[in-house]
Amino acid sequence: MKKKLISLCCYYNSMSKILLKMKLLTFFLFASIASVTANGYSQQIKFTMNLENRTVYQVFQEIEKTSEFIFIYSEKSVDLNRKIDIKVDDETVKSILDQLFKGTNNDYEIHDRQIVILSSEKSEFPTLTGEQPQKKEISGKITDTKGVSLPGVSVVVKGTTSGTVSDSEGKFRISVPADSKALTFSFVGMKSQEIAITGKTTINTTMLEETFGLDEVVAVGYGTQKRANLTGSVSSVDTKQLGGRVATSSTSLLQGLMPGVFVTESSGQPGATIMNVLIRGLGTMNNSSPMVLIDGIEATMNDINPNDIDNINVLKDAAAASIYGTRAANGVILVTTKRGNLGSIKVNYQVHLGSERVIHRPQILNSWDQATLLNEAYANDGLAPIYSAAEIQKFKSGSDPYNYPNSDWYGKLLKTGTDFTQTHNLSFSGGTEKSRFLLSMEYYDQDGLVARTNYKRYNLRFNLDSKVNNWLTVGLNSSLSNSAISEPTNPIGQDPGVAQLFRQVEMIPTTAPIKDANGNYVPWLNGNPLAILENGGSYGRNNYHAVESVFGELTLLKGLVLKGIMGINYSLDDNKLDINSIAYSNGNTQGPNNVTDYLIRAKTITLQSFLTYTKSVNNHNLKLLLGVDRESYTYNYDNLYRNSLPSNSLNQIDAGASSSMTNSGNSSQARIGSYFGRINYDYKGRYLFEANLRRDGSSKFGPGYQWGSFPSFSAGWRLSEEKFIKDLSWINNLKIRGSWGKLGNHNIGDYLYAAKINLGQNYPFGGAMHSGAAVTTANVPNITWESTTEKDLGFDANLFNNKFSATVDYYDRLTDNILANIPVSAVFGLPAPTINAGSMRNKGFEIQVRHNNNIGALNYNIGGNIGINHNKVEKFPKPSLGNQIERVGVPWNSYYGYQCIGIYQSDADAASLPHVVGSPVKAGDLIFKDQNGDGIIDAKDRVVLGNPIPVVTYGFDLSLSYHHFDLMVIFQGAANVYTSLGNIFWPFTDGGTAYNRHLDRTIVQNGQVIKKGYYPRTLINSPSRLDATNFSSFQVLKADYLRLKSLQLGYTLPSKWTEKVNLAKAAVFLSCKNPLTFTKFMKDYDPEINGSSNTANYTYPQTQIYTLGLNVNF
Amino acid sequence: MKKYFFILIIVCFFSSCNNKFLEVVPLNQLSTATFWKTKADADLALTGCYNNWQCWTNVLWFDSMSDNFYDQFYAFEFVANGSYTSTSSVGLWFESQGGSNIWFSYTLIAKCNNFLKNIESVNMDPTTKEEYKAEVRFLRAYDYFFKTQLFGDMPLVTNVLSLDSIPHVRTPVAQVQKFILNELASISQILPVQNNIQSGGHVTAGAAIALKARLELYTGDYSDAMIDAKKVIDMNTYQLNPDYQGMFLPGNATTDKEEILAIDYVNNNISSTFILQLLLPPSYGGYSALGATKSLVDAYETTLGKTIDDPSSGYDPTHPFNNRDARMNMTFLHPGMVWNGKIYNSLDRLLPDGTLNVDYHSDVNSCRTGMNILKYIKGIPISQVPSTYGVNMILIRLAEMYLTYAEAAVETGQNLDIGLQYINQLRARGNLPPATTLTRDLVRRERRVELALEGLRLWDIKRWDIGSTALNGPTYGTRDGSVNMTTGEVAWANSYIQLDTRTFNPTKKYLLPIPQSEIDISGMQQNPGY
Repeated sequence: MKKKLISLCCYYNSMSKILLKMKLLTFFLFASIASVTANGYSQQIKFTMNLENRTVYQVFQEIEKTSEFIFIYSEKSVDLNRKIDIKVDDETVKSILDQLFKGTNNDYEIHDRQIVILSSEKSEFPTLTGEQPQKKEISGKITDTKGVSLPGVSVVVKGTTSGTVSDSEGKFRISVPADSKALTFSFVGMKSQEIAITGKTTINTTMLEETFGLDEVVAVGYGTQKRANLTGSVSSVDTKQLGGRVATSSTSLLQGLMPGVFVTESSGQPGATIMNVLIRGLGTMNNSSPMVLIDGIEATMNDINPNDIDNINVLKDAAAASIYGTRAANGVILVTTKRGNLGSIKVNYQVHLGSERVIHRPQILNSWDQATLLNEAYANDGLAPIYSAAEIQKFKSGSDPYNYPNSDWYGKLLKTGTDFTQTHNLSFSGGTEKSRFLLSMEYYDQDGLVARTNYKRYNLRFNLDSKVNNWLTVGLNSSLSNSAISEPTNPIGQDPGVAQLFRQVEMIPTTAPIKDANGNYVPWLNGNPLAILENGGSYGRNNYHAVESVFGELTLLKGLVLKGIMGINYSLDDNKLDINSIAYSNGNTQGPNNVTDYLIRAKTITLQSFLTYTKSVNNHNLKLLLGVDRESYTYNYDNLYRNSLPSNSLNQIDAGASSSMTNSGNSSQARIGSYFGRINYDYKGRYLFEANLRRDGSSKFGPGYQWGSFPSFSAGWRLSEEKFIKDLSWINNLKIRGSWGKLGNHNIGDYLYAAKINLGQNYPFGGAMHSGAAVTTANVPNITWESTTEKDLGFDANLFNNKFSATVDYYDRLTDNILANIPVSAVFGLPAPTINAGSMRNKGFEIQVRHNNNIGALNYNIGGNIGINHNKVEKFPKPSLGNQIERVGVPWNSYYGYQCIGIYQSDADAASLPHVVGSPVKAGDLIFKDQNGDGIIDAKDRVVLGNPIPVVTYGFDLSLSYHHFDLMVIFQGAANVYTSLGNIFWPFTDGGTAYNRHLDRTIVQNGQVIKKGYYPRTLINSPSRLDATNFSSFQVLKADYLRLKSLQLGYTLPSKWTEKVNLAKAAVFLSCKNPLTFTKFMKDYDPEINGSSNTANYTYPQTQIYTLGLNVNF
Repeated sequence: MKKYFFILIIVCFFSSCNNKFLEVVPLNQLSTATFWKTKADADLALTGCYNNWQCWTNVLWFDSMSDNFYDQFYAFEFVANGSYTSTSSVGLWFESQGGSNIWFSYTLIAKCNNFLKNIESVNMDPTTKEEYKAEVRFLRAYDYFFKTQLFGDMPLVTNVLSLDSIPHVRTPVAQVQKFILNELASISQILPVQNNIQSGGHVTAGAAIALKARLELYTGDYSDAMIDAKKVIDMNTYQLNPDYQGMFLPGNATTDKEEILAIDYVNNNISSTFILQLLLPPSYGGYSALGATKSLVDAYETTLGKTIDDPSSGYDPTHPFNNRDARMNMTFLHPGMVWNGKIYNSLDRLLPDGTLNVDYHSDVNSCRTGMNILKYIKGIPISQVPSTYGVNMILIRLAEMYLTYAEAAVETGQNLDIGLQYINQLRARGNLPPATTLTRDLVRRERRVELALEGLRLWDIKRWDIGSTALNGPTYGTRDGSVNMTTGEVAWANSYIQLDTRTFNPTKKYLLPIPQSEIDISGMQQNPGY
């Protein structure tokens, strides 16, 4: 046992001397998240003071300066000018206050960061001689937006300093002079409110969270930071913006709210929506997805229940992200989950019921127009027509529906599902001084538009924080989930799943019958998709996922805290492909039936520990962080196959024929070891400096090339803290910040550096398979880190009592040494090896503005953001010049081909104008531009046709509440983006169908165009057609769009109703995902579709989801 | 104190470390550092060179680049009709082989060069080592033969390349061909004299000499071609297979002594879903990917041994498929033909019972020419075929050597009697009467029908330079008409199915274009006409 444990800690040996000492401490699997509880803060913050002959006021100031405490008091009840000596050594604020008020009439209460000074003489309202002023009692209850009662809210009579605070149930009672106009409610982290009294005796109010407050604490790498003190670029979404938002996945919560964070969703299939997140454009040719950490453990957005998220912070620039060195080049998404709060146990239950519909669907041409157009295509190719006029009439009249049908394949496929979604969320949270917990459960069940498409998700979370003693806190973040995607599959022998059925119904012409007169399915080229849907079998992807971490936080010395996390992220994919054989009308069977079971086991073990040290001396504030982190990743894949099961109803491997059995499997490992450190220094919160350094070692590289260093430096100047601005009350914050830093990326395959001989190069000799081996990959042993250098210049402003805020960032990110497979001549004989080859630059602006205010009872919060990113390849040797290219000076993966400039009007034009060599172009065909004017169209005439990554991404959101109603609206848009959709521009591809849009074609007679159309003349698979399908601007479409992503209207039931049934809060809401889309993209497809592939359109279409929800707090 | 107790625990458990954390190695691949030591390594590497050395689609589909067959899906047709360009992405490949990009790729050559370099360090019996090397040299020579046939000049690479030593200048085709011939001559001395059954699929001396004879014939070196063809014929290890049709069906691996060179398959290597799915008619569940052309139909003689344009041939236009060379009905189906007890009908849209006819030639997945391929195919409905097919795909067989000898005899005017005797042996399998004089027309016609669908027709058209007639003008399939589904009688109409119109461009010299992607990367010189 001991030996095993010893081997665990291996790599720390190579640590620097500074870290050596720490080594002894690091493995203490303890540590913590700096989540501060209500009363915890006053216990946590320790003071060392030696003040002589100071006024009470000066002591208050000193405490406010060195901590986050705020004093609330009436000047009339506290003698602020009384002089006193204070001497404390590493003691809590209580000790100071006890010394301060010893022997006075004053008492105090501490509510989180607020210290309320009370007078025991109840003399806060001095009486006038002989006259008792008229007073009145006002009482009420204060809750947050979720209906949770808020203790410790200070309630002050407007224009005075007299007031009280709410009790542990959020209730308050105050007596005010009769002529008082209004009460002011304030609480740290919440927006202050002013409520007119005007004759009321009861005032219940809901405090709104102050999202953009300067005291807001945001998560940064291995800790937290006050937003005011940030020097890097961090965008945040917190509970308020997430609260109650209906989301099909956690990733969708990122949409539209943060500048430079762009999320596309290209399919609506339950559980299988393809979401692509890009932060500040595309930074590498390799995996460009940002790193995601959930409570400090690397995971994916799919691993978390959207309802468990407390806040999401996106670290965008190098200064913010470089503490995560190796994997931070694409940005870092930090997800913090909700935790239990002090107080009685709260129960929340939410239910969502939803239904969905398709937004865009391909309009497939009816059978008689289809037949007519096909005849036209044959005629254009000089061939005899396929259908006679009588046959076309049969299609039209429907007189022979079995042989001359008008089959609505697509419509029929869509109508098969129940498309019902339900989500249930139940959570319990609460805690005591010693221990706090959150327990949550989620059940998500979504039925798709197509029969047997379904997504089920079960999520369990248990978060625990436990204070062992005054120097040790331990805790647990436990997430267990099971998600199951099921969908119909096919015996076609191509990709499993429902996308194949969409491919089929988008290809089969309406002239093909679905069933014969006897009710049997009629086969088409690859079988009949509706038969396949009914009988073809099923594909199930069942994922079991545990993301578990234990943390501890040990206070070693005053200001010196050691934190540690041990995490296990284990994912088991238990997948089954159960393919049935299908019998058709002609007696044929598609098959044989077969079963594939495959398992994917992926495991990441994380061990990290870090020390933080905080020290403040005379306005000089210092924070230090030193840490180590190591992660080991293991991947295993196993696959079993058998076919010819005696019945379609069987689906277990051992029911299949043993003669057919095959198996396969593989495994890989990767490891990262890291040291990191950070220094934060500020002077009076006015001049801010931060430096980070991370040193990472990666097993993806060979010996000698494994280690990389990733430093960053940033500085900020809070102008608003300067005297000349501080007095301007309308300016709350003005900050200029700048940063420079380096990031790394090693997101490539494993073992690429190593020289390998691949097995599996087999060949049968004499009737028996023989094992073979060969070098099938070229290796370059000296590959190393991709390195990203990023500069960021930012400006933050908060104005008019934080009612307006704005953030502007300019960045310049250069990714160098990009690991890529540089295209290599086929003469080399091996695929291109991965080398440090290219570099690209992303440069851009981000602007975010926000305004919140209330007009009477109407509270509103409106925000807008825009990101403009210019991507440019700076270096890429020997680019491949396919339909998408990497060329220096243009965006990566730009579309590349001929420029289409029109349609030949006559055969004579076609013959005389430049055309592709050997191409028999005729009137009605596309004209390509002869860019170099050499009289022929060839490879040299290809030009860049557009950028598939949007240059402009933007979003705006609005949330407002009025009495019991609230409304939330989120828009997302993209501009200057292009998409190509493969073969959809030509009808009858591979015997396929024509679409309504193809009716707008050019018609040619006797070598002359007689009707102009958008599409060229219709052809079947003829030589002219082959030429026309040469990649050109005709196939590249602008895919700009603006989409209302989310619209949600809620109604909170009046408390007088809910109180009767003992509910703390009840609200109903109606939500719609994607209700509106504005785009000039083609009507048949969604603009968010993932272009750049010939089969992009063959997917489950994007959907709108309408949801009705209920949210109840006990 | 407790605090230090915790720290102490940690110190005890974790005080020892090592530096191995970042060292991980693949567990499913061998390392070059430890390979190339033993004979077992050499065996693995030799097999590795054979892996995917040639693909069956390169046999079957190559005739659809000629006037014999028509391919409706994979655009081999565009090579035939002259519209294939350097950016065309056409072709098909299975098991990682075949297809336009693969034809150009040096994957096999790199494997072979790597083998030949590293085998020297293996400690094994020197004779066996030489044999292994000879096998690998054959595979390399074969690949160069294939490449030069398709592209003409190609860089000749005989050593292991590094990333910065990749040649992009094309070696003149004559020089590459000379290299091939020298290699074949040399290794034919080393390789064993065996037929394909005896060698268990390893290449043999016969294969080396036969390939040499083929290349000599292609380059017009008729006297050497004749000598080498004769050498193979006289090896007495090969013999004509009396079952012409069975020669191309599963089971041929263990019985067919006519095979000289073949891609070997075992039951679990080649999937029947590939061959049968693509080639069977729709009524069997297939896609009818290949169909015979009218031009091929017309090439078969009548049972009187005469061509159909000869008034005395006995050709009956109302029963055009009656009384013809027996090999015709073993090569493709025709309307009205009874196959597996069923009448093949590609001419009528509706069947007599009023239902749609899935084999109708304009139906989406049925045979465009109306005459579905039959060679290589068993008439088993897709649902009933075993999951594997297990047929050896023949690349060179004895009949080709007979034809090579006969052609060389005609072209040189020597040994005409032996040539005639060889030709008549082949005609006998088609139930044709013996020919009496050996003529160029006879040899060429015999070569076309005997080797139909074996991937050699395009290269024959090329060396005979008959593109202006064979690859020009309209291409036709079967004659239109209507099939009586009881009798199989066809009521013929006066038109033929027209497939397309071909345009022959002689400047291309029958060569394919260098793929544009290669030109983009290496700046290699393009072939003329593209």
